[in-house]
Amino acid sequence: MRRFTGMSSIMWKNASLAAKLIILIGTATACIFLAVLIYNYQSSKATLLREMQEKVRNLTLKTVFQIDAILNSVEKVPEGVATFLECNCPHNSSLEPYLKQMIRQNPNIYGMAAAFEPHSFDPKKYYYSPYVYQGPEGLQQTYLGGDGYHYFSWDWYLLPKEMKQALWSEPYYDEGGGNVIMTTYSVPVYRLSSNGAREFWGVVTADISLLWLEMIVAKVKILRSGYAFLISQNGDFITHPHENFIMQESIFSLAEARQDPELRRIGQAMIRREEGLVHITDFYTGEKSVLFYAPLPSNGWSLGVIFPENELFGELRVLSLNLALMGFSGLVFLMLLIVVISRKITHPLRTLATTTQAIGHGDFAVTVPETGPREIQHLSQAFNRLGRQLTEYIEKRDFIRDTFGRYVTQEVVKKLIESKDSLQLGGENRELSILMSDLRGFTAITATMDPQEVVVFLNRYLAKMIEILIDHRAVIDEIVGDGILAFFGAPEPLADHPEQAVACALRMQAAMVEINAANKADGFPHLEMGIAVNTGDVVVGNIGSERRTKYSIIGAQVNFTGRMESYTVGDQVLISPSTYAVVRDLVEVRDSFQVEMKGLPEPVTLYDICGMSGPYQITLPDTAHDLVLLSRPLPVRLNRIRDKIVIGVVAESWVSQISLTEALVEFRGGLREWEDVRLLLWDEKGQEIPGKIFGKVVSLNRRAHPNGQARIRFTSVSPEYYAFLYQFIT
Amino acid sequence: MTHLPGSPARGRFRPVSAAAGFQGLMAGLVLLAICLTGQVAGAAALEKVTFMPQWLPQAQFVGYYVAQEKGIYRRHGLEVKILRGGPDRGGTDAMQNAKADFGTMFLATGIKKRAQGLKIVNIAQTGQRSAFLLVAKKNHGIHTPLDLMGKKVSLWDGDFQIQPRLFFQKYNLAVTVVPQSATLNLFLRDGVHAASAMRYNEYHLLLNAGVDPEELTVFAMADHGLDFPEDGIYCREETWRRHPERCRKFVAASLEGWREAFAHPEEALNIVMKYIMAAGVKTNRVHQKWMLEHMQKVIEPPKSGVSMGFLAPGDYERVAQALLSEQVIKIAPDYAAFYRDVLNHVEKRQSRR
Repeated sequence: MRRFTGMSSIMWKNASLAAKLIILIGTATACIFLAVLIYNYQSSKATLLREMQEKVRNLTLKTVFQIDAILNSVEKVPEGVATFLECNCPHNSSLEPYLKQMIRQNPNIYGMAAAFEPHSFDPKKYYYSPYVYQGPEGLQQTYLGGDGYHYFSWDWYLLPKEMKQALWSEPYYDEGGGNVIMTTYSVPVYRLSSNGAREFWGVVTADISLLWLEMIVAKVKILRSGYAFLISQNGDFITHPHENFIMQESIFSLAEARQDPELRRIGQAMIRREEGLVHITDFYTGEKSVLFYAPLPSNGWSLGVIFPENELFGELRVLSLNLALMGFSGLVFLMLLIVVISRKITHPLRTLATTTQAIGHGDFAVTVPETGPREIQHLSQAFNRLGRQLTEYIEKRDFIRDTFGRYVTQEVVKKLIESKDSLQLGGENRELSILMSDLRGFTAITATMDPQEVVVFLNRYLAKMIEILIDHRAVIDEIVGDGILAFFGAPEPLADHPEQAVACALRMQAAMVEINAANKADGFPHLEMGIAVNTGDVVVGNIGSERRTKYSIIGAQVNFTGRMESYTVGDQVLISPSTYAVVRDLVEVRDSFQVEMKGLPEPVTLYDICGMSGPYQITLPDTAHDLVLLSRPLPVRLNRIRDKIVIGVVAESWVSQISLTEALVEFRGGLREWEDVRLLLWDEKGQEIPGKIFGKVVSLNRRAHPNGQARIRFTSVSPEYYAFLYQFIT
Repeated sequence: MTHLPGSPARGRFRPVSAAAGFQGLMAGLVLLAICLTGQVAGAAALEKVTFMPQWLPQAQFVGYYVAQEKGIYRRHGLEVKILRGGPDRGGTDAMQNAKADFGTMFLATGIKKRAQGLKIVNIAQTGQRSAFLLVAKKNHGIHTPLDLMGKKVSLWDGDFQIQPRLFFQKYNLAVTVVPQSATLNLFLRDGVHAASAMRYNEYHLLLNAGVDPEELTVFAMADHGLDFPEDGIYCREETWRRHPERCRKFVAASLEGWREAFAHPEEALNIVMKYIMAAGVKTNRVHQKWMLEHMQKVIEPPKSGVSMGFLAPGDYERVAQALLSEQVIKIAPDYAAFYRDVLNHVEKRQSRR
């Protein structure tokens, strides 16, 4: 059961709009219609029954009065004769003609008799009863009484005598007049006896045929098969459409045969001269019927009018059936209409669904027709607008992604686009590896270049670097000119971010060979790059304001990396102790040295690495060319530079040894380790070499020489200088 | 035919009125001659006899109709013609006027007729018990016999007054006797306080006129020491003397007819209704069913110990004494002269032979 309801509820949920509408509207309409139909049927039934009951009652009473009027008119005749007898004590010679006269005057009466007590009318006669009746040849007269017919013990005589009242007999079949039911009205006659007392003398009777009564009752027709019947005071049927009942069955014998005590009770009420209406099963037809009965006041017979309820309600049933059929047709029509309408409604929806699928597959250009009902129009318009907006949005997004993606990794873009939360301002503390690179002396190199050339020159470098960075899943935080700040390990956590960072740095450094080859071909200056890699806790996240947000890192380790980077010279990768601690087993350390950093109490060891084993297998080409001892030291002027500003000049200096990448300089004056310097050299003719060459003091040796010896690693060499240096090497 | 005013619905039980007169025995003699010569004919040669019950066809005589319709008479070698009884003719008439070989009568009537010199013999007493009742309405305050004191009671005339008058005598009741017509209308209209009724007939007619049994006080004569057997089969003494075997066959076949009727009441009712329709008697099946059921109670009374059709000497004496005491008869006929136990008698004769 539960499973079934579960199933059906699922079915309901998955049902189409048309099916749902049909079920809901259909059920509701059918319920309403049914309720109206039932109410209509019931109330019409009640009204019909009420009206019919009234009609039947009226018809019954009308018939009763019609019959009773005739009986009453007949009663007057023997009553008149009785009065005549009581007043006149006539002789038989006057009584008999009088009877004849009465019959002649009353053609309703079949026969009349006067019957007297033994010897009371004519002392000589034991029986005296003249009987006048309508024979086949006119009026005939005979005398009743004799050995074969002892009339004193017959009902027509006995009952008025003993009851001391005039009364109608039970109906009987006339023995002479064919199959005609008769009844007799008997009036007792009294006279004064010799002692003056009133004594019973005899009776006067009038017989009537009940043929007319049968006709009156037979005329009672109700509906198609409703009929009337008459029962006597004993419950015997006097008239009934079923002839076998007449004078044979009584309402009680039927009740007994049918074992129907209710019918017996109805019969008892009828013979008790009651009037009433009952619902019964017709004892003749067996149909559910309504019976109304009323007594004939004259003789206590009871007229019953009965009609089958079915017929009364037959027309109503037909009407209701027609209504039901009409309702059903209407319902079917409604269903079809619902199907059509809902299909019409859902057609644009289906189109919309298909179109949406198309959009789902990336075809944003599709549109739906903006037709149909207003709501659907609105929906279509909204949908089409959505398509346009999506297209615009996608275009914008693509533009953003493409543009943005040049500077940040797809990973960040993806994360920013896909995740709503990722656009929230705020950051998290996380351990990352930070990479910073910078071209040595780039500003100086490009200072004299055409700006357009600078862009091409820089982009060639950056394109390659970015490619490598993205390859190693770095997030490029910032590119400022020639400097790159990138980090590893965010936004997606990266377990081997130190290795990735170091490998990335080495590859970037290695790529410089290729870049410089290209530059050389284009006549651009030789570039050298320094890279620092550090690992440490930073705050990473969307940093900025609502208007401008950047997925970025901040923290002391970032600044630390910046400082580390300032210690690099060209072609060098420096890693911090924390990075080294992780990649120690993989990297090949060329050199390591201690530096003092601002804000840090202890000197920091930086590792200059030149290769990485394991899965990375990178080895940097050995760019540190062997120093060539100059036969004659070259005078050189050192411009001390801090923040790209010349802060001092060391005038008395000589280059004692030189290579393409570094020089040993004897100097007199102040020079600090890790200081940036610009070298100014002259050729043999005393001409200043055009172009520029920058370097970094990587070590100082004051004790080895009276003046001081500095090892300067070139960070930027212009082509002119490169050519100049080249002559010494070869 | 003359119209009879107030004639009753026919078919209701009506006492047979006593009628005097003794007619010739021509028909009987002719039948006798046939019987004397017909013995040799074998199965094909059936003895032709006539039978007249005391009233119109009704279940009171269903045994005879069943014996006829089911071929029981023929099986016993008789070809019976059942004549129609009625208000103007019956067993008594048949005996007196030789209208039939066999007829039915009440025992009291039979004894009276025999005492009056009609040479008839009872060859079977079918009814063993009295079905005679006096009925009264309780709403008249009648609950015990003594309540009838001073009341109007309607009685049929003739032999039907014997039992009620002995009943009044027994309880020292002075009542006003009113003649009872062929109907119960006087009683139904409260013209009398009590009326006569046969349990198998009038009592049920009262019920079928809407009176409930609870409304009635019933004094059954059988319950008050007046249990007179009623219907019996009679023939003239001469018939018996000349054709004892024919009498035996008729009684044996008739009793078999009764047994058959009691064994298959619905079929018996179909048969009796057929006779009723043919006679144009106005009655109904329900009433005949009641009558059949109550006939069984008087013909095969439970725990009687008397075989069907036997007239117990005690019963005979009781009725004869009652008739004497009522001065209906002056001398009671001898039991042996009045009753022939035909079944056993014939057997005795056969054994003697």
